[in-house]
Amino acid sequence: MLACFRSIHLAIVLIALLALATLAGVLLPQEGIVDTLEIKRNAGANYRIFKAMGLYTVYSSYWFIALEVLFFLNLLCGSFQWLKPAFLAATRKTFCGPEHIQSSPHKLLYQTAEPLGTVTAQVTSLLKRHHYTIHKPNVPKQRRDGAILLYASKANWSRFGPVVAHFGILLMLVASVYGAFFGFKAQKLAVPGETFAIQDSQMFRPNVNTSLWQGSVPDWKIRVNDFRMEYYPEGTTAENVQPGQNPVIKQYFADLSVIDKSGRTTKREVISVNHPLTVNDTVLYQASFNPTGKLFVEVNGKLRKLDTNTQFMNRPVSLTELGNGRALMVFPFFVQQDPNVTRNYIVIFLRDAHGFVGAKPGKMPPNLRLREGQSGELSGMRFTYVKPEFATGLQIKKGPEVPWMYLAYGIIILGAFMCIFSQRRLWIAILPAVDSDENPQTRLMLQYKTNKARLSFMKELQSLQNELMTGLQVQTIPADAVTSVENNKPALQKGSTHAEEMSPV
Amino acid sequence: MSETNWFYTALMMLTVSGVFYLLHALKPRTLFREGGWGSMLLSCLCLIVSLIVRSQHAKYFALSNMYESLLVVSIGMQLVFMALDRWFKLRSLGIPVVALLLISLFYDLNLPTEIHPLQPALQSYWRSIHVPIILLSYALFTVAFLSSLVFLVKDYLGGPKTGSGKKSLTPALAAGPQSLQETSFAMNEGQDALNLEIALIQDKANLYDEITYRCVAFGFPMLTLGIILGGIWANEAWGNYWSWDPKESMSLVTLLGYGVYLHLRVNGEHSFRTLAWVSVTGFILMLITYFGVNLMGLGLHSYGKIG
Repeated sequence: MLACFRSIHLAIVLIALLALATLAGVLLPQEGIVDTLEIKRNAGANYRIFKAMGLYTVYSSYWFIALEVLFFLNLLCGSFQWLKPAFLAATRKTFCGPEHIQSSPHKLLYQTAEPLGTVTAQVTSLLKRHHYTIHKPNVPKQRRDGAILLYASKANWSRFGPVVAHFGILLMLVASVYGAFFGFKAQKLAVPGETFAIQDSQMFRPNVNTSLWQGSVPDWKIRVNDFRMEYYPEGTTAENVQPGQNPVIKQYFADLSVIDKSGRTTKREVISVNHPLTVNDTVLYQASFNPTGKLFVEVNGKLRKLDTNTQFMNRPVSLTELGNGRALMVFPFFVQQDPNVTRNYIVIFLRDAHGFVGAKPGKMPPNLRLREGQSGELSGMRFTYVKPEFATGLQIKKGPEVPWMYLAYGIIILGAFMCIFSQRRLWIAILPAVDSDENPQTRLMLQYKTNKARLSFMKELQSLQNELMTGLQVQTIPADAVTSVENNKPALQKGSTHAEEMSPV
Repeated sequence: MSETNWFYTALMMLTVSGVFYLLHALKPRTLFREGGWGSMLLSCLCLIVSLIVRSQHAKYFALSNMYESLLVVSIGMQLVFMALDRWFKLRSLGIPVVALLLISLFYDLNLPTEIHPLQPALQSYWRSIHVPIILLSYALFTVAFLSSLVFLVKDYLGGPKTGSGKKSLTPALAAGPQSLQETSFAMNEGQDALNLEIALIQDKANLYDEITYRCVAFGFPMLTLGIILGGIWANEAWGNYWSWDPKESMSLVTLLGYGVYLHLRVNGEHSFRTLAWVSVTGFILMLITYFGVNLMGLGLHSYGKIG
């Protein structure tokens, strides 16, 4: 059973299933991204069945979580399974005698008139220049065939790449579970001057069911001192570019204070998008803003706070008695709420007992359009649009798992990049031989292996071969020219050579 | 010279590059390959200058909409292909790469090119880190896709049979010297085993399998890094390193798709042909991530919406 969980075949199947399940969540309308009413409308009578199947909440559905659990188990078992072979492949030094090299399909055979010592020294030097680490047997025995055995390797650490990446993923999954049981999220729309406790926020929710949640809520409060928006300068465009629908808000800022239990301000900071406020392990983010519907308007020099308290022609409107038989009617327009609005503005009408003041039949009643900060006159009265009241939209999050998550990310990235590189290994036997005229020669036998990037490795071997031909005047000899190696014991030096070491890549 | 002029110059040089690579495919000559490579280098430089000029106008690194991102992907593809061509001296990949680049750039011309001031969410140094890394991975996967296509064409048209069994580096060599006679190679006198093995890889289809693998081997960690950096940025901006946003989810699907490719390759039990088809599937997933989600215009990445 455990062997089944360790299986790479299972891993491939689970990865594919996770991909398909995630794809389903992208293609199907998900609650939280698409309005639930719209989903119900489109699904019709099938809504309940599809919802029970988890099709509208794929990523929190029982079958998706089951897939994630299976994936975690497979990753856990498989990572431990691959750890030992990776360790052995990276650290074990083995030496192959001429017989073994001869029987390998991945070998190179050379012969030269240079003496054994010279060949050994030059081969060692050449491989070191190519960043190979050379090993000799710990207890070099004088072999009957007089062969010198070497083992050269590089990028051994790359064998750990998959293991490192897998452990990073495991840590990430564990960290996310930790965060689920100890973290929370909250959102709050707060107006300047408002003080609130986190647990009183709208949408305060622990990351798991309250009965399972193990976390705690901070006992300090937040006060919103001020909220303001910054706009791009009028007419900000590039050369030769039409303005189009510019998002003219440059940034929005909330001035926040942290108030402890005794009412003391322990921290005060202005936050903006991408610049949150951190208090211990709780972070407050400037996420959004919303007009509250209140407007600050000066009427003949007197500041008034108006409420959008009614509707007119399906638009929210503020209707306020002015006390002189007239009523002030104000239509507000907001950037990013109303189409084609590039600056917040209001349109003011005056009403009295007879209707719109100064109205003529068939014509738009007299009105005054004011942008923020602008003043004007209408029917003998002076108005200044000071500003609309905005509530700052704060996202509050406690994430004790975040440092562990970042550690996991770092490990995953490290492992993933380690996997790019390939381990390259060479088993070398240098032994005395004779040519057809009984002249003394030195035979150089190379067995090679890599776990990836075969063509690059072949090209490196080609480069090595060229250098050997230049430096030692070696000549290649066909594989079948070496018909038999001198009789000797099995050509294995200290450290056994496992079958898998000799198998083709 | 204006941004647009640099763009058109790049298109022109890319066309010249295509002509050279076409000639090289028909009649391999170093002159043709070098001409193609040189023209593509000039085209790439012109696109880079176009991006720099645009950034100067915008007063920020111009990578905030579909037009700019496709420009960066095109630059990435050119850089990847030039590196591969230098290393592997390719014959058949130049034409599909140039063709796809031309299609991409002509499509790019039809996208909205207005420069908008940056929204608050995009005013972060992470934009200059997370986005280019993701786009470079897309470039690598696109070249991998084209290499897979070339492999499949050559394989179906009768390259060396790679078989449906265990994938082996040199099945001919493993079987012994006699089997070499049965391959498409003549055993030239003096041709040593190493050159033969290299030739076996480089011949016909196998080279393009190797190139596909190398591109995916580089693209996968790049995409992993890009997704992770995006999560870190999201955590700093919104307090949520993963919110199953359509773009995030779809990029995860792409990552998992290429994860299947790499695991199948490690497993060693599948033919090069199967791997090529998996690479093609991964590319389709990547297209949905890059274009499909932007067409939907939903979620936190809606500023990439087309139109």
